[in-house]
Amino acid sequence: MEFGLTEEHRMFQKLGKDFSDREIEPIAEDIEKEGKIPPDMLGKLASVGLLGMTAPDKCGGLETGFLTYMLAVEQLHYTCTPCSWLMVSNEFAEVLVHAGTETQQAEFIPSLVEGQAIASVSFAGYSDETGHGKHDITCRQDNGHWVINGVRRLDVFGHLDGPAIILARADGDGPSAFVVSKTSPGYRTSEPLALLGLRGLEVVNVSLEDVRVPESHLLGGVGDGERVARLVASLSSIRQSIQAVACAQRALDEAVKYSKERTRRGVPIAAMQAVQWLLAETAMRLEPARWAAYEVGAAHDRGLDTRMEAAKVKLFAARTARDAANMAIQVHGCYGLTKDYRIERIYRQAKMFELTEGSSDQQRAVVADALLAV
Amino acid sequence: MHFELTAEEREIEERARRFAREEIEPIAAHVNEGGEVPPGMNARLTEAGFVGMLIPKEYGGTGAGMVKCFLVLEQLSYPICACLEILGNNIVGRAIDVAGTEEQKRHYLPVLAQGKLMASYAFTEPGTGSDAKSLVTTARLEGDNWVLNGIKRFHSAGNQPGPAIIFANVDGTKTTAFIVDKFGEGYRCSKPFDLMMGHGLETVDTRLEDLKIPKSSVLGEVGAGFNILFSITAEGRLTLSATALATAQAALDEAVLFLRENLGGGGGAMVPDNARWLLAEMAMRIQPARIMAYRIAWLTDQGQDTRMTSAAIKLLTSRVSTEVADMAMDILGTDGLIKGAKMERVYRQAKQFELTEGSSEVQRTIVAGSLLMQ
Repeated sequence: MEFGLTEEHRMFQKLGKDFSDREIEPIAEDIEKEGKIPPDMLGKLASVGLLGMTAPDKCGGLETGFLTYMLAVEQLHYTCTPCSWLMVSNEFAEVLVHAGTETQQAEFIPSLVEGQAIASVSFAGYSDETGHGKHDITCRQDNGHWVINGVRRLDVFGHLDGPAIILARADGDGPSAFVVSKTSPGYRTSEPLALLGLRGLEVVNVSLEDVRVPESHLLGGVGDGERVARLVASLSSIRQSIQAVACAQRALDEAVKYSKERTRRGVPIAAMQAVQWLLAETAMRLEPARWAAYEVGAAHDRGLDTRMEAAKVKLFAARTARDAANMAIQVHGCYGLTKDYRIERIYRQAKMFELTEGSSDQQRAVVADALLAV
Repeated sequence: MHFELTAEEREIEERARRFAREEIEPIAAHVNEGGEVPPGMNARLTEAGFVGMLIPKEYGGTGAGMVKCFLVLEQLSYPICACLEILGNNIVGRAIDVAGTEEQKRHYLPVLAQGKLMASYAFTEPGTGSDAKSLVTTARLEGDNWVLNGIKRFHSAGNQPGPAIIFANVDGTKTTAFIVDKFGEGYRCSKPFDLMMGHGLETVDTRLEDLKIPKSSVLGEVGAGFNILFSITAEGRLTLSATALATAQAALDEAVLFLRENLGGGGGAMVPDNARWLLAEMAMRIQPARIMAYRIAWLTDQGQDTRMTSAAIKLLTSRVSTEVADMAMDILGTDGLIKGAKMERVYRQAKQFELTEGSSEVQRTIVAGSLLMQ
């Protein structure tokens, strides 16, 4: 075993950090206040190559692998803004490399790499994976096309031009996966929903009414959707894990900083054992969450199925983020409730990792199923 | 970053797993309840290459390093049987190798590597546990000898022939490490404590009454004892984490086995949701701690300072051990309370790690201190 970062890892880590420090951190509070990421952010990410990290060389990508992508995402998410979600092109590319044809890759990936379009990859609200709940999207064949109907809830960037990966079930069959253009007739979205945290992350409800999709946009075979769903769920869980780690790191750093500045009778509260212990309890889980996430990312890059491990690490990392934010706001005292302090919005965001893109309940079911399987 | 084991790492881990299964598992319950460890155990552990892993080849050890040492301990600890005291030769051997004179190394290291003597170290006193600066044991120079007076508490393997690293104060404040050949005149041990964890671990009070040891017994320099203590405790915390992890893993495995045997049904379908929840909660705690521990073992082999990180991982793994054992006990219900069930002794073992080798309170203070100094 060997735990060092390669030159390439370090390069992309630095790229992410420099971008973050330069382009995101200075406007982080504005993004929160206005509830909007500046429209030129996607283009800026494209111009430094962050949108094409995992994409194939033929599509204008750098083929860095998923782990390196995670390192960049981690840096961006240290700002605790929604900007790291803009890097979703990398996840879309990864899915298409595993489950799509070269023709499909060539059709959909380049515009994402160039920042001309944005993909929707998550399966929020999709419950087929664990066998609980009913599936909401159906498909049927009609004259060389597939026709898709249904509803998709809480879809990230569902209203922005680009390709979406959608699972739909034909009568009696397993689900199939499709690439659907979000500008297709019949593809309609609500206004972005206002959520507890991550203001600026545009999330919509999508309804698909007789959306026609060419045969050539089927991913994998008919009924092969579960495999694609599994991959998407793995990747989004791993990526959310590293975002949660970054959130937890920021929360810890804010708490450490505050505890040194805030004094009580002339003495920083950092001198108090109770405060020290809160900090230590968070720190003890932070590095393990980070390295566990890296490990699952590396396992994916080695070609392993990571569904179970991704579920485990997402459970741990999401809990770590929530607990870190909880601890950090406690250290801030009442000031932590005011919008003057960053921890206020970090706290609101931290809970979301346990709920979005596969809730902790769903992750627990995946882990339990795997443990009990003979 | 390579998270897979190398061929050598895999080989030694498998060797240890086999040893645990064939030599330790069959006697574990018996020893825990008061039975004697089979007389050839230490020799067999030595033959298998587990006793000189941190001792260089030139002194008769295998020089295997901390990563392999950790992997071995994790496997050997899994049956939950306290018959591994001789593996303490690794840590003490390392301490002598790092701080000792050439003469001390040639005198002690080969016999430790060959498992002929059992090493130990003693810092804690009746009045000094967590507060490292309050040592009461004294050492004064009289002619060609040091004369030691004091009591050491919870001295593991203190009653086994071999060298003990004993910490004492010279001139009131100079904490110094001495190598003491156990059972010279003036060295006396109590009977082993009767501990919750069960039989096997020989932990004693050691009384030093005008114990005379040669002038050459100082390990390192007079007054430089703390550095040696910090190194020993950093490695002790890390290796203890291996046992803590193995304990948690054993708890999880017992829970899974229990559910499969009693409620298996079709692929675990009859297992109630609350038990499935617990399984996932257990599994998600173990893996990140394990990966982080491996990383710290690797950092140790790289020569990095692991004082803070070893404290953090001990804090985490000890918590994991307690929590996972608790959850597993909830799953087994009263079946887990019955003597003879492995779970019963897993539970009694699990709590110790939050208390021994520096309680969690101490570890929190170390971790917080490091955070606040950045």
